[in-house]
Amino acid sequence: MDRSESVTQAPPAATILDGREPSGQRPPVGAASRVAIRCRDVHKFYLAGERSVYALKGISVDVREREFVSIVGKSGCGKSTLLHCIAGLLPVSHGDIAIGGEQVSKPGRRDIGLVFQTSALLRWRTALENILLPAEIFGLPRQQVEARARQLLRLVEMDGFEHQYPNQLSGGMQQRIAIARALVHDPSVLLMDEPFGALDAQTRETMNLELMRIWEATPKTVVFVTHDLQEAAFLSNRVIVMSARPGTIQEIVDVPLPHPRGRDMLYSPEFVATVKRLRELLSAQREGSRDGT
Amino acid sequence: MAPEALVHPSDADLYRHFYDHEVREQARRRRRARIVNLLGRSVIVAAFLGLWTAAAAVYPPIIVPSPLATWRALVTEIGTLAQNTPPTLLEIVLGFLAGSVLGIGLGALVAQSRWAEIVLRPYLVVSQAVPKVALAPILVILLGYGLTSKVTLAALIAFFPLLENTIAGLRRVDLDSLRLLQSLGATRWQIFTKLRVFCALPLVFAGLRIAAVMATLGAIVAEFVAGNRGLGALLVVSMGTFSTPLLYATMVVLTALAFSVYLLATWLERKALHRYNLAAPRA
Amino acid sequence: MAQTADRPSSMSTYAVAPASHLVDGREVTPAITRRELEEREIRAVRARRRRELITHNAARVAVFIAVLVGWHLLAARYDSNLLPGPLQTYAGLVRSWKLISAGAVATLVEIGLGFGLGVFGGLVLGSIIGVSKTMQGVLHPFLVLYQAVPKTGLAPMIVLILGFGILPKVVLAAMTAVFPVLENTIIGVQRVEEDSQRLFRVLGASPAQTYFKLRLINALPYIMTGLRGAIVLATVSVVVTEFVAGRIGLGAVMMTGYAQLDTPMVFGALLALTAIGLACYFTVCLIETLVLRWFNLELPAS
Repeated sequence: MDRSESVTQAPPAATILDGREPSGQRPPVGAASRVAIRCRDVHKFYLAGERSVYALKGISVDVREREFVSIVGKSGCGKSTLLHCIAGLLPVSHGDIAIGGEQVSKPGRRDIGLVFQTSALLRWRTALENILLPAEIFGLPRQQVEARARQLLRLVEMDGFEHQYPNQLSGGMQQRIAIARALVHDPSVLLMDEPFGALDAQTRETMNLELMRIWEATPKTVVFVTHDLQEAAFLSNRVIVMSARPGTIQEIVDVPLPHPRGRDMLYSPEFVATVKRLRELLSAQREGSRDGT
Repeated sequence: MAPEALVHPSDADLYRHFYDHEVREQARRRRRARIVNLLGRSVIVAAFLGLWTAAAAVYPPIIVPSPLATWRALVTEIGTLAQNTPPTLLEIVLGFLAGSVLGIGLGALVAQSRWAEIVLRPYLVVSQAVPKVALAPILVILLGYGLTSKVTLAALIAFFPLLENTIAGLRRVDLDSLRLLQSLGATRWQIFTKLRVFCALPLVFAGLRIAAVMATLGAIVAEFVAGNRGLGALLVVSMGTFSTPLLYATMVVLTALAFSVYLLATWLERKALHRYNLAAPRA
Repeated sequence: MAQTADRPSSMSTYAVAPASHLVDGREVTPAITRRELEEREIRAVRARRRRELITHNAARVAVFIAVLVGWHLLAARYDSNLLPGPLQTYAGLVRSWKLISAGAVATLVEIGLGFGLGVFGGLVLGSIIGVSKTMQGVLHPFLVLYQAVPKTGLAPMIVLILGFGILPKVVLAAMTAVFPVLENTIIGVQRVEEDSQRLFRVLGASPAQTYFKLRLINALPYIMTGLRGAIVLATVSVVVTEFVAGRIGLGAVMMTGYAQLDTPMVFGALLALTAIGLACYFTVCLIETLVLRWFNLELPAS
């Protein structure tokens, strides 16, 4: 029985969104073979005041449907820039990016959800009103979306907090609302820019587990930017390692661990080996010479 | 924006290709901005002069003189204008100095005592809300038509923003630096001169800038009321005698004077902050 | 509660009712609970606040009385037509009450209209200029000029064109009040978090949507600060224009007393003016509090 379809329509009573484990078969997440995001020879160059920045050079990568991909690298390696290019926020200097077959030329696609490091919740709106924001902008009727918004609140385990304002919520809670907001219009792609970077280590660990749980419930294609190697390895199917100046893909590392992921996997030999490999790649960057001029 | 396909270029080629492109784009954008700015500003000035001339055509010259008539008055009455400018300038400068010294001095004193500051706070708020220029007639009655009443009003109006800014500035101290000095056993005076003063500088200089504008306002209003000497007095007198070209000419001179005062104050503020490598306070 | 003295008392706290615990293998119940400590603290803080409220306000009243008494003593040495004391001021107020009350109404109306007009203009212009970097670049020197020159100096010119009635006062008040609102609207509309702007762009929001749902509301705290500046400037402007134009308003009443050397009337009118100035200012503060509370916003960091 293919449950993945139920996610895209108005959900009936008992669905995956209720957070309950569905009985019956479900295609393993990340196994779809269609390409969701395709980057071909992407270059990004810009001038910032007196400096020139060759942020991305020759980036070519495919992200499959329902795959969870992380991008790691040191500060300034272009990982956020790449994410913003995929989102359409930044125009590329050369090359093209396509999501679901359609070229990305400017922002405003409805098949993308974006989560920021600063949560970017509007402080004058309650949690529920924040989640409803994308629907408002798209002009969708409120009743239709409100039910879904409330279900998402339950999914991120924040029901009861609908009428709280962001300044009454902790950092982790704010990010949960931000994730719910990114999901409310049911995008096929979720782009996350160091969403847990501003949280303390404990909360970050909790949020990683929560993200896995949410992702199991509503599998999307996810591109996740982080500087935390363990986080990247824990969450993803594949990890893209980028090196800076200019930003290029050093290597793409497979994570040979099954989903769903649990805390116990943090100690498995495969996980340790993956993180070790990621660290080696990053260390090699430091000693290696810089590309370009 | 995406040019011909880049086939196996070297890194240096790639870099140069993109760099040239971006630099050209940036230069083009800057040039366009400069042209737009110049054009826009010229349009505005032209529109201003045009509207003025049109108004002069519509209204009788005794109400709205044309720009040309104003210019002619400026030239012919240069003597009167030159005579009345120094008194106004003197009032502004003296008022500014008096108000600043008192404002900063009193502010420093009040800031020493949290208790004094808390007790006086409602009075400071009230003084903000009350139009101090309304004191002009009273001051002229009490202090006469001479320099004193005008300087007093200018000083009074300049005093309050500085008082407030000084108190706020002295309170705004970086806690960690304060703790550092305390741990070194610095005395209150040392903490004041080595830390608080510098933390207060941005706000104090912003206050000085405001005080300059306020002093100008005070001098002008006092002259409105006293009406005997100075550019403000000249305005009121020429209004009363319907010597409208002179009125407009005086307005031009007064505007130039006020603007110069403001520019001077702003320049001083920037130099002082730059000297101590401080940032201007957020608006 | 700890019972006997031979048990070592401990100040450990618990979230719920005190449970006994083991210390060195012996059972011990704590001498005090968290709840009790909390209540003790709250009581202490409340007592201190009450004390401070009394002492501070007593001091403020003392200052007020001191000033009043000082004024009275100083004025006693001079003729009441030069420096009237508090009592003579009150007498003057009562004597000229008709004149002063009529003037007060007129002044209030002028301030209100000028303020309203100026705020409206400042909001509209500020919104237009704030969202357009081009306009900001073009208009920048003009805005600096506008800020630098006291517009109150235009009073004689405006009176000449618009006459001696209410209109010149309203117009000049609007011209003066416009600037703080304009400036603060521009700042508030621009000072939006980078990520919030990105959010709206990624969602493909139209400029209107971005403006009304994000920029304008974000600007509200700044606009409120601008309102406070605007009311103060409007009041000052109205008073000065009344000095110049005479005929209507409290400023005109003051000039009448000034010309007739009826100084108690001047002081009385000044008192009324002070009251009006305060009333207007605090009304705006009230508006500010209500608006910010409605949108769950706070004042911008000073």
